[in-house]
Amino acid sequence: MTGIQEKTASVNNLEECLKCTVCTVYCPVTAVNPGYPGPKQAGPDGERYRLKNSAYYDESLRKCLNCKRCEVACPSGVRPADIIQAARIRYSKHSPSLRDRLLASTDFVGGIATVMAPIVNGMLSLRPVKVLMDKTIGVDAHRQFPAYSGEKFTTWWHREAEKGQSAFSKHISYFHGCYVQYNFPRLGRDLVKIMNAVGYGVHLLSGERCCGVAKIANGLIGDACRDAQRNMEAVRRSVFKENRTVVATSSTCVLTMRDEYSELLGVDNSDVRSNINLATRFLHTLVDSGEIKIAFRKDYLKNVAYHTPCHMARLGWGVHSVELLKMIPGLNLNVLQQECCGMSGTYGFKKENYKYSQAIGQTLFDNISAANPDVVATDCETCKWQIEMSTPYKVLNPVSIIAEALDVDETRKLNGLC
Amino acid sequence: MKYDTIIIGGSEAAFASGLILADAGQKVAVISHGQTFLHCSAASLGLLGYDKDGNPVHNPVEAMAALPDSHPYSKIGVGRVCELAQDVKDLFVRSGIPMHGSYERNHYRMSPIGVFKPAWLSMDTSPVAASPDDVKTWGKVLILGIEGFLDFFAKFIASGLGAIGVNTEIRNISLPELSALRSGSTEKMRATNIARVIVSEKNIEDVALRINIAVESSHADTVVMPAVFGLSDPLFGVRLQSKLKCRLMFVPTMPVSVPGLCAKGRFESRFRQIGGTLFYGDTVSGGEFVDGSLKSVRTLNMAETALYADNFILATGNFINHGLVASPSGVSEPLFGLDIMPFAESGFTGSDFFSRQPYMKCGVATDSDFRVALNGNMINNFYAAGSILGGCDTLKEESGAGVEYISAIAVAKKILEKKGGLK
Repeated sequence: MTGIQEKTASVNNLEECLKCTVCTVYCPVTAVNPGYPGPKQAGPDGERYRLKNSAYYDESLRKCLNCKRCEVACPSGVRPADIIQAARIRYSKHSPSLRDRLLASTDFVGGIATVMAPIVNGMLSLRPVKVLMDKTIGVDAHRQFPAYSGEKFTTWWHREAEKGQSAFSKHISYFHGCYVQYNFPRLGRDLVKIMNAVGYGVHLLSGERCCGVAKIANGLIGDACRDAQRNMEAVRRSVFKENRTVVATSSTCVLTMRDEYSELLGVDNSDVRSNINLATRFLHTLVDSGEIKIAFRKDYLKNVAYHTPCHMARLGWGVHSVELLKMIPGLNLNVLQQECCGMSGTYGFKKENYKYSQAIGQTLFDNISAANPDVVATDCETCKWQIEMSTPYKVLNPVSIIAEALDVDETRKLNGLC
Repeated sequence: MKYDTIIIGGSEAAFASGLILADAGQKVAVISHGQTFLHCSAASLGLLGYDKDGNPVHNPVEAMAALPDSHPYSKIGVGRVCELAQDVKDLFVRSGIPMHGSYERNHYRMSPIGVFKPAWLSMDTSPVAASPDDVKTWGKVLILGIEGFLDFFAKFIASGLGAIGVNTEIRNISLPELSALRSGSTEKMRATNIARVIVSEKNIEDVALRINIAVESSHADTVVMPAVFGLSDPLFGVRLQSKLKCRLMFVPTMPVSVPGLCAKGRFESRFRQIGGTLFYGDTVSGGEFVDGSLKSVRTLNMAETALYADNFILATGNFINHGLVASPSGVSEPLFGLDIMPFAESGFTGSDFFSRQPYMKCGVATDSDFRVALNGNMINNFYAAGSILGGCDTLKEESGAGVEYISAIAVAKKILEKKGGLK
């Protein structure tokens, strides 16, 4: 029996739970949805029963957003969200519907939609189409779909950027993700603009797949594992063969590849985890260590409210985006209290979740209205959709704001490029 | 990244020292592995409630003279403790939380189970009296629960009040605004969820109306209710009181105290406003010590990025907060392996759960300025604050809050007094 106290901790630390209920206070779903028991009951409390008998699993766990605010709040190191997600993967008998498959297949659907962007965008904004989708597959009619771009990011990169990239002495591989590829290539172009100005060549991560976050959320675990394995092969090629670290612009893609792959999908990433980085963290770390310098236009004057996405809070990297934005001399920054926007990827698209999604986001919407900024900055695309749909404010990734404010010539000079 | 001072831990001591330093113009970061134990606040702070024999203390200043040299108050010095006690009150007031009480004379607060304990500072609308005998001035007490809310122990409160000769009556009011919460699982009817629903002026009017009806028919002079209102408004109780025909008192509930959460929100937003950085949900994974100084720390989330500072404060709390860890091989400080104060007690645990527990006095070894040591060498820019200091049984002394806040401000001021500390 010697040392038994030291041998009782499970991977997600469920034994450390003191029942203090702090996690439940920070759960955005518990506050608005009476059918969800909350992270304490669904997580460590329920897990003790499920370990005895899987019949104790109940499908109310599917109401968890996986925002991970419970994990950031827990004073005892318990990971309720991971306990809940792992239980869903292990015990859920629910099979994904056609709608869930469509929403989760961001890369497949995006690939088709981009080819026919003007038609698809037009169709998706038509009231009859929205009502039809609402009634047939359960995509809420209130929801605005993010517009598809007529040109994929990679098409632009091959045409406009590729040729110049090898001229740089330092290089990164860019994990653009589905959103930049199909919906908002501008964010990728903004990153290329900044990286090139500070002396880095930007390359595509060859063989990149969707990070898989939507597949995990919708129970398509086999597909998510395949994507994860292909992505890790791509990252390993980039890191070990091409000597390029991998940088992404979405906080959720980064969290999924760094943490969810190993913790939920069992896909080992330990050899390359530290080489999966977020653009603002990569840039700020270089600025902080003096390796690069960034000059900003003096005439860029803006009031910006920064919203920390929940997954950014879990990564713990909000400070990097904030510190970079603070460097812009004409920018007045208001860092908002961390709240959940309620969108959580595909969750907010579903008819059964729509009203909860909006109720969760209300505090954030109110705080943004009170701050009344020129633009809201946030590192997550689904937060952007939710805020732009629910408030009159425009939302940009901090990378795009930095690109807008960048003095390219001066920055190139400071980094010895001309 | 470089800061003037980095505070490790999410205790009240972390916020208190962080606010003092940031107010003085320092660039401060707080690294906390989770939310603070302010979530368990009793809405009252204790400075020194009981002496070593367990007798209630009337004048904390006088009683401090009898404390052993190892006690944090003795290390700070009684005179200095009194000065800093005033700073603690100011800290709350500056954050928008009025506090009532004096360090020279304890008052009494009623606990959630109807026990009266000596207290130093109490928030507005707290169930307080100058002495246990003074509770009789409350007159007839209506103990008013809220239908469906289970974390309020009306019968314990009635028995506690009855024992000192106070006439009580227990009733419930039903608030229709809470019907959606009542329909969910038991986790729904929690204090913080109720506080999120009851916020508008109309809600206050409605609650006041229902309380007044109950008070009128019970002929009560004082109403005691669970503290389930005012999540972001410390003056909610005062506003509700102004609409009532009797005296109103809120008893903080567990788990998660609404007044505590409200105070935490105020401290946190003020800390951000004055330029402080919060690393929530992160854990320190090690430190770089050079020539008797701590140069930088690393964290799990920041990974390769080291966090540098001129000074560091360790405010990670005691065993319950994982600031100290006990294992069969001994007590240790888990983040840096700092030296532990020699353990002078006989036995580690007390004979029964409610008796004095010797392990409560465990803490890290420090000098008189609360600087910590590693392998016998004092670290000249690394301080400890709050319950990790040990040397006292805060539970039995009812001194937890006092030690927490006063040691934190003492350390913050030491840092500011150092050359170049004050910006």
